[in-house]
Amino acid sequence: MPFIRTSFLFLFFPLFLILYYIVPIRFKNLVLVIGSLLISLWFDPAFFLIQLNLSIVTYIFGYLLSSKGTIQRIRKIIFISSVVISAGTLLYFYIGQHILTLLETAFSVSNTTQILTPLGIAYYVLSCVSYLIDVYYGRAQRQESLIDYLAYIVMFPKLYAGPVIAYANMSGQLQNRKISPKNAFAGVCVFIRGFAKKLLLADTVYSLYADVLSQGFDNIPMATAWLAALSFLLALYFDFSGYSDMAIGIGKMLGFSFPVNFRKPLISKSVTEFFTRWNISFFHWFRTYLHIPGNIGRSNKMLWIVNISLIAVAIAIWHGIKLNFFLAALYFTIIIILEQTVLLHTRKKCPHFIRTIITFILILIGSILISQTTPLSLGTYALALLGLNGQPCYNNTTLYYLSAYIIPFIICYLCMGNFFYKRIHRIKKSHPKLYTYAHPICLSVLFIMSVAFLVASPAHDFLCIVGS
Amino acid sequence: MKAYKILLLLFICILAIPIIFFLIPADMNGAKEPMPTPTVNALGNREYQKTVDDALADRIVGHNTFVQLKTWLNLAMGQKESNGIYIADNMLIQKPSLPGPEAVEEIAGNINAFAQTTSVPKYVLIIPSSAEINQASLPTYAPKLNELDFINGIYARLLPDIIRLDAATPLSSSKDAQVFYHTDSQLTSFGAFSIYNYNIKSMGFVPASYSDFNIEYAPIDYYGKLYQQTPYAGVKADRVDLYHYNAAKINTTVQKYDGKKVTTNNDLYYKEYLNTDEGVYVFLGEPAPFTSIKTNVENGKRLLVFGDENIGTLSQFFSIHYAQIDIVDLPSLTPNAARAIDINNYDEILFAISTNALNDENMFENLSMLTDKGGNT
Repeated sequence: MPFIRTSFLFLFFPLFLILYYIVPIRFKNLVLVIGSLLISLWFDPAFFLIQLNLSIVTYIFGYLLSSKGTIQRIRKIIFISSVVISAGTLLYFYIGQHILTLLETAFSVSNTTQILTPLGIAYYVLSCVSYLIDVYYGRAQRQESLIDYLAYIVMFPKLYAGPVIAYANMSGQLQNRKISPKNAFAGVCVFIRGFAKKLLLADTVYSLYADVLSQGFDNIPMATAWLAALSFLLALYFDFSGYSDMAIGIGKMLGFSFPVNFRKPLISKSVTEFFTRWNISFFHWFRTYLHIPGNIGRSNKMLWIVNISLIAVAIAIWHGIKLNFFLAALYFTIIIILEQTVLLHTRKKCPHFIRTIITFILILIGSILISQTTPLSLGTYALALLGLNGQPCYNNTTLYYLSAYIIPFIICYLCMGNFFYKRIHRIKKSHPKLYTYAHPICLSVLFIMSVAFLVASPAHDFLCIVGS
Repeated sequence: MKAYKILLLLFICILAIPIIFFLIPADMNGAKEPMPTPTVNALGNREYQKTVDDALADRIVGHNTFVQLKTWLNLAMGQKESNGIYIADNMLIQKPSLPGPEAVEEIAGNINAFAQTTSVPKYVLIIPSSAEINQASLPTYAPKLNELDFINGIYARLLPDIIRLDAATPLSSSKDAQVFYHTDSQLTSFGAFSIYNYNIKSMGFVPASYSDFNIEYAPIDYYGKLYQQTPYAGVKADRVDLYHYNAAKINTTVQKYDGKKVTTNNDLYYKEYLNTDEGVYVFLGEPAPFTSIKTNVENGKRLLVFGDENIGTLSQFFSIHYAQIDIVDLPSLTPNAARAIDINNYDEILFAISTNALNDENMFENLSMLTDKGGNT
């Protein structure tokens, strides 16, 4: 992921920003496109070629879809073909390697060709499909300008880890956005917050999970297994939301308004609510584009169940053709169905804090399913979590982890809720002058601490790499 | 609005300032590595990108201060380690790791397979790490690996004619006198002397006593590679010391083959390193695939050593007893260097490897270069 690379942060990004702010407004999209393509070329030349090809193909399809002379039946065929090509590109990378391996085995052919999934392809394909759907259904006009269209499709802030923004919600900003110093500085604040979440919190707590993983799950006590699970979930949240904040912040600096992507999901009171707070843009995209047409309100329960099941399967496929994603999708789907049907009234009687704790535990178990990519590792981990692997409940290593990570866990707990937000908001209201001076100073301190972590251990990767 | 403009400009300037330092050559800005050369093939190469990011991070203005800040922040958050290094009372200890149980069989198997290709007497010395010897200094509850069991497991599987040497016992009994550096994972000269003194009898020699040596200290403090990664202010600085044997006049020359050329030093020690940050290179210079120490010891005995970073300090003592010691760094051994080595031309062969080095699963991969053709020139 580029944002947490020294080469991006201290070389590409400042030069890009200077050029972006200097050029007249009519050239800003061009600068954005060139910058985004340069990043793709640097990080993944193969992806750069795929990006260019698919972008142009999608642009042409968009032109054909909005041509006045095209009859409806042909429009439909063009639309279906274009979506199949886009989605097919993603599927090619997900299952291509498996098919290649099967063919090699079947025909006893030795081949060293490897099909590697390019970084960002999954989010990129969502943008292409969104463009095609919105143009087909008339939710937005197709972009006549190739540069403006490419600015939406390839823009680097949202390319690698979202937020996922429907074309209809972005089209107006491509030509009519206002770049004000106030908004740009607001973007800097959001960026630094995300930067700190990733480097100070996510990477710190993840090292516990990585340490346990390197030891193997078959020899760890139950308490260590649960600590590792907790660290993975917290790392995943702060990593993902950190990247989202950085993307949103950069978007603001460039004059774009991206939607908030995470709204304190770990303090949700139900799993249903969790998915309205976690990676909001992503789930909203799937709910928007993959719903079954017709009146499928809660009164038509069966259709609703079928609908969310289809969405869950699509989301699992999007993440990668791997057992862990399907298991997690099945797990969460069942819980959501139960919450909205059998447990609907029971839930409402339960105190809020109990519901929050139960939801957190359910999410924790779901994250365990996501973290293990093979049945064997999942089985071994499950045995450790249940204390069925012949190990004691805890040992000295558990105490070591507790003593070494208790403070980071406490900080994570305070940051995942409203603790800091409420206090900062209170100070802003009661002491606006103090806030005006203290805010940039605190941000500077946060930035310096984050840079220290970056410089001391460069090149951190996104913890949840889609498709890998 | 003006205030926001100023703050925004300040942010961009802070991001842009390091660019100036990226342009300064490595030797002028204190960076350790030159910038990687850009090539077309490097595009999309994740390893190359990491090299570039590391090189840029190395050149960030105030790099050392940032690394110290990170260490301090880790400690403030209650962490007892940073960058894989334990921050103990007054020393830094590399976090230990051992290969899995199947590696014990593999390591012993590799040594046995080699041993069967020659009748030259063979010795194996596996050196435990600082984490094992200084367990009492590790942070509370820090996981402790049983390196002694690991070492004994390998020894139990070696062929009977291979002589096992014991490094753990002398190091444990001498640990209060600092047998490992506080800021590096290597043996100190005293640690090497302890191992030598305890084991040289098994190799048929009378050990030199401590009083047979004049100790020369480096003029400056030494902060080793652990400190470079985790600059903890509370750690005690090291001082590299050289043990000069004074009971007899021994002339020594060292020849090193670095893969491209041969260099000669007319002394056991590379004293030009004593005043530098890389003080430990005073012992046989920088690592090389093949190093040959020649002395005027009259017995004419030749020792072949497969060693790692600790062989430098050990060579001070072994060179008292051998006319020639050839040291092979197995992981970096090249076919050219291997061709010049005939294992049957030596009087003794010694494997002197630390448990840390045994984590490299390719450690013994290049042994076959010496045995496939019988090691003949």
